[in-house]
Amino acid sequence: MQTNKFIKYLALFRISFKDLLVWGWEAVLSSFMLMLYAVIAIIVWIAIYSFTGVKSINGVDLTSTIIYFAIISALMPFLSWSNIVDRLSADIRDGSIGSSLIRPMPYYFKIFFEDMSSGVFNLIISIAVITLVIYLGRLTPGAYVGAMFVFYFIIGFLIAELLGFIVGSLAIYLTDIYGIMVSINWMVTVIGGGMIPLVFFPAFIEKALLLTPFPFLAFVPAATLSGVISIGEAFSLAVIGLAWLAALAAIAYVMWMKLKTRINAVGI
Amino acid sequence: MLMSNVVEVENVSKRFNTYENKDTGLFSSFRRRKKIVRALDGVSFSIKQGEIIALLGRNGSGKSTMIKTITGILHPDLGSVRVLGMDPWKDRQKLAMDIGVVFGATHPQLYWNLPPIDTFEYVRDVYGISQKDYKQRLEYFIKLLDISKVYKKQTRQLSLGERMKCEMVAALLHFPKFVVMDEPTIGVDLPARMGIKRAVRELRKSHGMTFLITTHVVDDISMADRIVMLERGKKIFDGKPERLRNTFSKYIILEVKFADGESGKGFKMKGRVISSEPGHVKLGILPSMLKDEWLRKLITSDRVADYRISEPGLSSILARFYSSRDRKGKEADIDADE
Repeated sequence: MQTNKFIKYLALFRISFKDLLVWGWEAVLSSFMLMLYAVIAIIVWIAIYSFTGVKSINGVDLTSTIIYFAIISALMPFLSWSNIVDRLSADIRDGSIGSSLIRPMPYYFKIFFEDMSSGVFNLIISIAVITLVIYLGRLTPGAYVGAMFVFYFIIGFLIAELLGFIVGSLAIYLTDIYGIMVSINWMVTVIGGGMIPLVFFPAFIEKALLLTPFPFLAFVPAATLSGVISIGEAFSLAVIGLAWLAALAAIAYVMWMKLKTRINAVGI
Repeated sequence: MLMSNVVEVENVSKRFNTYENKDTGLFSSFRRRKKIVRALDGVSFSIKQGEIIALLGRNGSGKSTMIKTITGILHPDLGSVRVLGMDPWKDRQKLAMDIGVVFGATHPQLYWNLPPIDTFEYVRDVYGISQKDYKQRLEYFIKLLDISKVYKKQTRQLSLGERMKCEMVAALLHFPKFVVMDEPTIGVDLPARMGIKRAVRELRKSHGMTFLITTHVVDDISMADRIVMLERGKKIFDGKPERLRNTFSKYIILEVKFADGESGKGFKMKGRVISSEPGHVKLGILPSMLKDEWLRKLITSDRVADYRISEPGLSSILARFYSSRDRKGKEADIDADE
């Protein structure tokens, strides 16, 4: 028997997607609930602009802010959180990680491709919303900005997946990782640009926050496409994004090795 | 047929760290002490190609650790395991192509919200089974396990027995050389259990598959060629099922019904009294006593309405063995290697 790796992972993706479609409406609803959060942010910022009477904050006017949050609403379902956290922590707690290890594929790829299935579901919604934002906001991003946006979108997705793996694997030490999940969600929201565009902060705070991985899950891709940051600024962040990607991949690898040892030590 | 060893387990030991609270106060979870549990302690056995082995033992005896070690999920602290010539820990993914594992109802392989046929197709692609082979094998398993009416229904709607049969198909579609089944018949009704047992025998006969089956169900022993029994991480028996009876029980059962309703008053009786009620006595006697004079006198007496001599059931032998071990609380292991 010859196993083609591509067919193997495609099969995993296919069955996970089919499994998700059983609960199709629930998946659509949860995606829209995440978007609702950005809609609230738009309403709040409209109120702030009109109450204070300012035309722009740090060079960003109300229209750009609305476009920024409209893009955030499209990114949130895809980038805000990875289902890997739930899958991995549940597999560790109930011991079903053992039954996943009997298949001829690495476990981390297995949960990644399973998560990709729900990711694609959200991606369809994200593309639809972003297309609508570009049309209604009369944006003309150009090929260079478009490419940068796609680049940061992929970086953001991979960072979300790796963070999810790292947090999920903490279940080997902790009985309940819900508190950490909530904390990281707040990090994405507050210091990742989910609620306040980072350019609204004083420059030194903005620079400091851009050194963390969280802006890559919301602010960097949204600000690149909406024009809140210039193409030059966006380009300069690539090194930080790639460095975080490499660092998180290394941490995830260490956690995987710890996880394997832990399974071996306590027989999860 | 060349009977090579499919599994070779040599002097395998495995310890786990567990934690227990030192006391019962409000903050007892913060005051824990580490405990080392010896899950496997110098276990050795081998399995020949085409054998069906029942791995017996009660909860915590080390059965699950043993099968996790054999399938490459765990690494032994000491000793070595070879399965189909491979080191299961190092060659886990390669070995996975040649082994099939059926975990009981606790860790199902079937997708809960989808019909089993979807999982079967997924397995086909993961193991690189050609469409032609897949069709043939699926038809074979549908017939063998009688699942024609269930394999297209949503898994969550199936009974436990139907699910277990479909779990078997999902684990065996790639026709593995060696199959591990972890308590496949727990909670399964009798017809489904018989179907699973029949399928195991048939797969061994027609495809030469080798099986290692862990079980609590004594009835499952009937399908095994050999039994390996674990107790507190140690192997305490390795032999044919009929030898299990002789090893753990020296006694045979003598049941006597008295016509006068008395409990054998006035008779000389030897052996161990298992139960005594008015008009009915159950004794455990040694086979050598069958020729004793006291027994001849007893069973030929007019006061005896009926008597029966039988071998004790495996369930009662094992129950008595476990309770005696618990009473003694020591590990006086019986070395019963063949």
